[in-house]
Amino acid sequence: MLFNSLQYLVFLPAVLVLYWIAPRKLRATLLLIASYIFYMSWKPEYGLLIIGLTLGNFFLVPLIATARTPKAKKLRLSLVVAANLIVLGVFKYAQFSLDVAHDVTKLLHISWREPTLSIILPLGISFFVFEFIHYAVEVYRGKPTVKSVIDLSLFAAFFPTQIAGPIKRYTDFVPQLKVLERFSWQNVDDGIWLILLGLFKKLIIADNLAIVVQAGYANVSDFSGLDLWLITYAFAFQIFYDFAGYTDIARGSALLFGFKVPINFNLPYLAANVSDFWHRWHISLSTWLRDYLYIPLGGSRGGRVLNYRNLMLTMALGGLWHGAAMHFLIWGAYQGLLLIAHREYSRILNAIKISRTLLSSDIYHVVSVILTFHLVCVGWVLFRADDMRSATKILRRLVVDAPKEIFNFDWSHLYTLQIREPLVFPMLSVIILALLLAQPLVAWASTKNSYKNPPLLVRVACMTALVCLLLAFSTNSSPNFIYFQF
Amino acid sequence: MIDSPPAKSPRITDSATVWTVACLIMVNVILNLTPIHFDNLAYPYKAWSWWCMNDLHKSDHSFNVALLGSSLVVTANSGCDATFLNRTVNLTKHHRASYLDYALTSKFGGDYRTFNLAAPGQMVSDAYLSLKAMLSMGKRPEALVYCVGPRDFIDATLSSPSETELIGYLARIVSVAEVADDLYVEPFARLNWWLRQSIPCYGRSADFQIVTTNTVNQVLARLAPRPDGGKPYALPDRRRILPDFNKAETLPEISLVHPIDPASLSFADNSGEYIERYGNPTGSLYQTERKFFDRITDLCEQEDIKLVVVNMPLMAANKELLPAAFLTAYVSDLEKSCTKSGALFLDFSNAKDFTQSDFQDPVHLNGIGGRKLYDRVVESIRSNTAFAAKVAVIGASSKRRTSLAGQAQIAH
Repeated sequence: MLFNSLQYLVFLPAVLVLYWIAPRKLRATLLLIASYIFYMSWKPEYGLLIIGLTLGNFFLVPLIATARTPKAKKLRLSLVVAANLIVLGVFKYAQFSLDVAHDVTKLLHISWREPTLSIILPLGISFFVFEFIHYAVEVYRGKPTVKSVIDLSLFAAFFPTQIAGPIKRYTDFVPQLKVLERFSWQNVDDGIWLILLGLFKKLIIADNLAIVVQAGYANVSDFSGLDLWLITYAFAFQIFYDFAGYTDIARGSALLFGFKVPINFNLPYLAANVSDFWHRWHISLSTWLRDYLYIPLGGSRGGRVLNYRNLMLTMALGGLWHGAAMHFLIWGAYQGLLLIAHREYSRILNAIKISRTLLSSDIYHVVSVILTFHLVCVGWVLFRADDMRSATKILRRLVVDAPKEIFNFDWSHLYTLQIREPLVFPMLSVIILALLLAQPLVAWASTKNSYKNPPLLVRVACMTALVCLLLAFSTNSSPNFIYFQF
Repeated sequence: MIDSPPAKSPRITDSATVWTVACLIMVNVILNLTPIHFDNLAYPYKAWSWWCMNDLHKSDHSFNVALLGSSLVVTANSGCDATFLNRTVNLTKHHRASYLDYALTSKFGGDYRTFNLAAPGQMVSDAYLSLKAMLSMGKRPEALVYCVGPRDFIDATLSSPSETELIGYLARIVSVAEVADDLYVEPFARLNWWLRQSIPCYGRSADFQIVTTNTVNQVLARLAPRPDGGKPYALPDRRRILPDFNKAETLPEISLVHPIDPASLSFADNSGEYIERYGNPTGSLYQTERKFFDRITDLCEQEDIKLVVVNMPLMAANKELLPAAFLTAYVSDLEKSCTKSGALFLDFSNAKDFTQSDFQDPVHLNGIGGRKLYDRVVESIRSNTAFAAKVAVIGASSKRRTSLAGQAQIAH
């Protein structure tokens, strides 16, 4: 069931009404049943997977807490984490591993027939497996176990965040089940506002940009280097508004039931460096990677080389988490390299004692934001391209051809201007500019109280306009949310 | 389990959501009451039915015969007409059945003008709505030739009749309320239809998109015209770069049919497509489409339209993909419905005189087969004395009207 479907439009209000009229004691159970229905509406048999994983973790994780020696504790934790990772590995990485093994043995002139596994990736598996690992590690670190199977099941299966996060922390979520919120019109207003905003981001912005991106990345040779820059910017905003839209709908839906789930984005394209970007982009994943991969690997302890190794490993594995393909792995490694480069750059700046006035100047900040955005965009090429060969092709066009086209600029270089339908093609430059300007504008506005708590009249006008826009201008066949595939 | 401390919750009257719902109701009531004129014949893109209905709407001629059917008759008719007229026929503009008119006139005298409502992929439900659209434009035909095949009733790739491309457009032109139960079988399709009926903002979304696209395009043409000297962007480029954009759009430059050269006839086996299509011959879709067939026969009876139902010739290779018992029941069902409503039923499904050279694949007749088909249809009508008399009257009265109109024009 997709958030942007008619099914969800029926499902959500139905569950909401039942939830609020049900006796308080039954609410969590009702929400759990609804969450399983939501999950199983796609592939009923995969319901068994999430139920099995939940029961497995429910019974095994307390064994970590009860282990007598630190060694036994560690061993049990390793087994639980391994069990979760094996499930993820079988469903997500089995074919990829076979491909890699095949390619490596081919290099060694060993030929064998590679089997084709027809495994359909269960929706949301990457997200709920990470939530279980977090649960196991936190229990290992001394946090309490979850005593109720309903609570743990709902923690993993909670339908608003089930498919694509945000990746929750049980220490934040489970207590909310103990102190259930009362019905509040404030929550309804905030929830509906987030859902509408999310739908707008997905259906009006991301889905329209998706048309250009799909056309551009599938037909690279038709477009000029400058077009490809515009299309890459378009993808930067497509993936942001697609995922941020999903997160808004998830957070809004959760809020209708009185649950607060973490934010995932904080104006990432205003980041002044790559480290800052990862504090603003997919926050629930980056903090998970920090807490359960980077720090256990040693974090920044043990010197520069080890620190950089840990950074590189964390980001490369984070890349692979997005998808079982080489270009995701390389995208992750690229992010690792950028983070290392940023640390080295900062170190050099400190060493040469560059003027603090320059570093804190507005111009330096703006240049840093623009540079970071472009470095991130180069990364998006690796992320979006079908494979490394096409990624290399696009990058060459961006880096080699585009500068030449700028020096000999002519409007006729922009093939996107030749295409008049859909309108997103000729309007692309204007749309990109508007979206770029929207970032600092939102940052500025969000400091104003009138933006955070607008008067009722303004809020009603905005909500009415959003609904009308969505009804009149959404496409009939909206593609899936990008992060559903992970 | 305990409750959280009471949050400072605003009252229902302070809720933005409640006021938004009220505003939306108001906006939609106003939209319902305001006489905004939308062109129902417009559509975001020009699909087959768009060309057909717009041509019919703009035409000054009166048509006394209508032709209905799927690609079975489209291929037969277009190849036949291109050869008969000895010129390339553009299917976005040619909505006639010139050879059929000629054959009818030759046999019965008088004047026959056929409007061709047939469209590729036309299911019986689409055919019913096409006929209703023709009637709603005040262009009632006096006779209807409806060429059918089992594929018009069954399609395992569809779960309900509302999933065809044609319905999307036809439902704009004619009211589908009376048949909504059968068209929108899936509960969510039904809900979607109901929402479209009830919420003008949603129901008229195609109109808003057309208006916006046209306005923005006009502004762009002035402010940012296509740059000179750029790489040209033509239809083949669009099909390659944007394969899913307006997929069903039919463009004049790719809708050309040339006269048939008997020396270069080709034949292709499309059994794979039909194995999939015939997956569930007796499913609920078949029953629904049968209902629509009865609706067509009833509508013709009610409107006094002489109906000729032609069960199209098919090659054995295609018929063998369907259970023999199904085919027998199917023919018998059609015959019963026709007999009940006084329609003429012509079953050519086992006609021996259609050979492989008349087909372009096991299902579709080519132009030569099309000509043979029309000859057989006209001959079969003539051999039914009572029906032939009615058809002859149609031609004769049309000729009389045409000559009277001609005299009036001369007098004027």
